[in-house]
This record gives sequence, C-alpha cells and structure tokens, in this order.
Amino acid sequence: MSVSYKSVQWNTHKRVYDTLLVGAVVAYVVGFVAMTSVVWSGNEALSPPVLVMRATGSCAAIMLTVILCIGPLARLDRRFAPLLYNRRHFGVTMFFIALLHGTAALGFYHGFGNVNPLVSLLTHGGDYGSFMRFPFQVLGAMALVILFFMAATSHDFWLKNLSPPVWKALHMLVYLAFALVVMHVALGVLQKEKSPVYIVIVFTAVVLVTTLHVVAGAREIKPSLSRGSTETSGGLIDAGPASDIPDGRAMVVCVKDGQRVAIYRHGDKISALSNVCAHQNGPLGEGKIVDGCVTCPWHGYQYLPHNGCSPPPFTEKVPTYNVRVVKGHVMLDPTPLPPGTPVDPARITESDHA
Amino acid sequence: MPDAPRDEFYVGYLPVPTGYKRFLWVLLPVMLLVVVIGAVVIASQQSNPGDAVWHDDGSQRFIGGLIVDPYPMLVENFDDVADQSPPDTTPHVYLIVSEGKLGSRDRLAGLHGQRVRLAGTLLKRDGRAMIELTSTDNAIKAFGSSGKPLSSMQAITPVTLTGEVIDPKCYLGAMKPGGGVTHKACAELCLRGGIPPMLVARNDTGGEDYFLLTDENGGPVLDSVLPYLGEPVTIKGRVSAIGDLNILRIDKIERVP
Repeated sequence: MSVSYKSVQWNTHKRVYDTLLVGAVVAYVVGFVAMTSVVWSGNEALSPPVLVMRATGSCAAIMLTVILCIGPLARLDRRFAPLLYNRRHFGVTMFFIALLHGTAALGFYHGFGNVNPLVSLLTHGGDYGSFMRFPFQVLGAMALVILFFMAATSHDFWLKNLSPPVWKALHMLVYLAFALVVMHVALGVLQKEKSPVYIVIVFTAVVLVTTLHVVAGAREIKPSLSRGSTETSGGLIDAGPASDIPDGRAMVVCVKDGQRVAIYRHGDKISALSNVCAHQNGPLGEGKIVDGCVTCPWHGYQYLPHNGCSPPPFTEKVPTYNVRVVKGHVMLDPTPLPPGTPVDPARITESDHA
Repeated sequence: MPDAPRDEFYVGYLPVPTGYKRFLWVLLPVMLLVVVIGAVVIASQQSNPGDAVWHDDGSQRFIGGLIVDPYPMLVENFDDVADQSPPDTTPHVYLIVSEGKLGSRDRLAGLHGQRVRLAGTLLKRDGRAMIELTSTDNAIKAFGSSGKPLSSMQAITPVTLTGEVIDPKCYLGAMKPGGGVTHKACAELCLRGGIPPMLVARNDTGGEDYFLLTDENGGPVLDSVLPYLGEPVTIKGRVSAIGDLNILRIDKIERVP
C-alpha cells in the first residue's frame, strides 16, 4: 500500500525477489545433485528418490534457517529490510520444497507396502518411548503440518479474518517447526551419516538463529524499558526530551502491560500511535514518516500520524494516544484510544528547544 | 558494519535508496555463492551408498530348485544341494521376493522342493543376489519334484557377529542407500511384508558378509529383530548354509553399546 495508491500485491521488488529466490533454490538443488553425481556415480550412485529427498530436505532446512534469521537481522541492520519485505513468498516457497521432500519420503520409505503410507509413517521406524530412537520422520511430518498452516494462511485475507493477534500466534509456531526440524535432522541424518560437517552445520544454524534473536530482542527491549519509567501524579508518562526524536522518526516507549507506543515527530508536531502495525504487527516505531504518513518498516503500510488511520482508500487503523509537550518533554497518556481516534498533535515551541 | 544512512528508509514499493542498493549488490552475490558452496559441501559429505545394482531394465529367467522354508529361495544346481556327496561347486542361492515391499511365500506356497523356472529382475550386491518376481501370471512355472530331500545344510557353527539387521531387498539395490537409521521405517515395512531379514557384517578383508536370519530353531523370524533395524547389533547364534547362502540362527541379539 502507499499514500499514492501504488499496488502492494505485485511490484518490481517482489518480482526481483522471487526471481532471485527461485534462482537460488535451483542453484542449490542443481549444485547438490551435480556434486552427488560426481562423488557417487555408476553402481555407487544414489537412488533418484533418495537424491530428491536429500536435495529438497537440506534445501528446505537451510531456507527455514535463513527465514528465521532475516527478522532479527533487519532489526539489527536496516539494510537487511529488503530481504524481509517479501519474506512470505520465501516461506511459501520453502513449504513447497519441504512438501516435495516429505512427499518423496512418504512415497518411497512408506509406500509400496501392505500398510497405508500414513499409517506406516506413524507406526513404523522408531520407538516413541525412546529419545534416541524416536521416529524422526514423525517430527518432520509435524513440522510440515505447521508449515502448511502457515503457508495456507499467509495471505492477507487470512490475516484480516483471523485477526492479527491470532494470525501472529499461528505464525509464531514457526519456531516450534524449526525445533522439530532440528530434532528431525539430529535423530535422522546425524545418526546415519558419519561426517562431522553435518553436526557443525546443524549446530551453527541453531546457534545463529538463537543468538540473532537474543541480540535483536535485547536491543529492542533496552531503550524502550529505559523510557516510560517515570510516571507523574497525573498518570502521564515522561517519555523524555522531544528534541531526542529525529524529525520524521519515532522513539518507542514501553507503557503498562508491556505495550509499546511509537512517538513520532513530524516537524514541530508530536503524535503517538501504537507501535504495532495492523498488518503483520510490524514495529511502527522503527519506521519513518514518508509522504506525511507513518510508514511501517516491514511492508510499507502507512498511517496518518494524527488519527492512526491508513490514507483512503485503505482501511487499517491503529490505536492513538494523547500526548503533550511540557517544558520540552513529551508527556504521554498511556491509555490507548480506540483505533483511528483523531488526536491533535502536540507542538514543540521555541521555548521547548531552549 | 556501518548502518544505512539515517535519512534513508526502505519501502518495498518505492525506489531502493542508494545505501541499501550498494549493500544488496554485495549481499546478494555473497548469498548466492554461499548457497552453491553449501550445496557442494553438504553433497560431498554423503557416505558411500554401496555398489548394489538393481537390474530392473527387464525380467530374466532363473531355473533351479525351490526352497520355501524358512524363506523362499531358489537354488541353482539343485541336485548338488540335495545330494549327500559334496558338490563340485557351491550352488548359488537367490532369495525370492515380490514386487513392492512384499515377500513371495504366498505365491510359492506348495512348491517346496519343486524344480521351477522364475521370471523376475535381479538385485545384487557383493555377490549376494535376489530375485524380484514379476507380477505376471507366468512368473512361476513348476516342473515337478526333484525327488531328493533338502537335508544337506552344512555343519552348524557357533558364532558371535556384529553388524546391521537389514531388509535385503533395499540393501541389495532396490534403494540406495538401503540401510541405517534413515531407512529404518522402510526396512520395517519390508520385513513386515514378508521380505526375510538379513545381517550384514563387515569381514576381516573390509568386505561385507550376509547372513539370512532365522529363529533359534531355524524358522522365520520377525518381531525379535524389528527393534534393532538400522542399528549396530551383536548376534550370538549358530551359522549353517544352503549353497553359498549363510544362515544364522539367532540365540541372542543386543545393541552394540
């Protein structure tokens, strides 16, 4: 979306993004198959179904790892934001690669027998009472089910109809899916293959995802907790000097119940909105005012600073907050107003700069 | 790593700011390079799937004597096996299975001791061979009994062997690799479908020896070996042979610690 009504659905960036994404997937699969054919050929060649399983399984696991790294990377360095912009296409592509892996495994490992393949998946090849011999394929299947629901509901239609909190909660299951994939690999490939390279790769992926999330989370929590801690007798919160807010940008304040408020400065005006974008819960306080609108850093959704409404014809709304500037300090009423409630911006006067 | 200029801000539907563009021109080629290197490294570390061959490019005909118990197998030079005198050459024995993950006992019931001609495809690894019967009606043709007893199993020798319990159809070429933990579910499905279990054990020369597994009385075995599929095990038992096929009667099986 944009204030000048450009399409959000397909644009040049998304086409370039998807082209590069598909190109990278093809490069990985072709590279994997080619290298395998070099290492093991002739009578020692892998069966084609096994080759497909391995190429697509490893590809999907790497894609999931990269997807989980993009979010915190974009928080730590804004230049990664272009990778975040079309991440849902990344996720859906990853699901289809994983589905190919799962279908091949189900068909060839559990097919051609006298038992229904789905029944075989749940009843063959492991011991549910043992950690080391737990049926690792079931773990992969569980991850695939989660990824299916995420891919199926990735469209904004579901975001709107499920409501952002429910949609967000559903999509947070990606971390459970990642844990299941790690265990799927650990109890499967890592017990089968002897090369330590696989252990190093899996360990690195887990450490990378965990570390990036911890560091990005710490960076987000620290400044917002340091603000908003001073509450006056009138129930207002002293958010700090207005001059600390760069023009066109925001400071984020943590108020009661852990809610965050984005306090934007636009010239000499101060407005406060919820920090949570109505689209995918993106951090509005890390955005910028573009064409007079607060613009979310994730997907460019926009809101008018004084009422939290997306410019017509768009209909998204976020809660607003009453705010004042007293002796150069931003004083915030922490009680959220209903989404889309107009609030006169506070003004920074000459004396506030003094 | 320097951040993007403060005044620059990326919005997907607007032109990419210069600072972001410069960054992406470095990041994207690096990511693509990592993708290709990652594929090569991961693929290169795969272990040897073995040199098994599945001659599934057309059915062949096999002639010999049929043994159904404990598992179906075809013995070339049937008379040599049945004869009480030592044969000049060790008869070659083929295990017999059906298409898919199914054994062949039902199709061969009542033909024990018969001279037969089978149509099927050959699976082979390290000299150990298996026939996969075709599903056609004329896959099995019996010519009558040889009239000689099948009593010339070699002397039973006590042994302790370490190796892996496998489903021989996959291990001998139907799927490569056809062993290990990742293949465990497939192996269980094969064995439950009637394909006989085998132990593959590494010998002193670095090669692999194959042992058809039976219970302690020489009968078919299934449930007692299923929990051990795809894992290193030690089996104490007694070895005998029919032709060039070793048969291991299991007295005790346990995981290698």
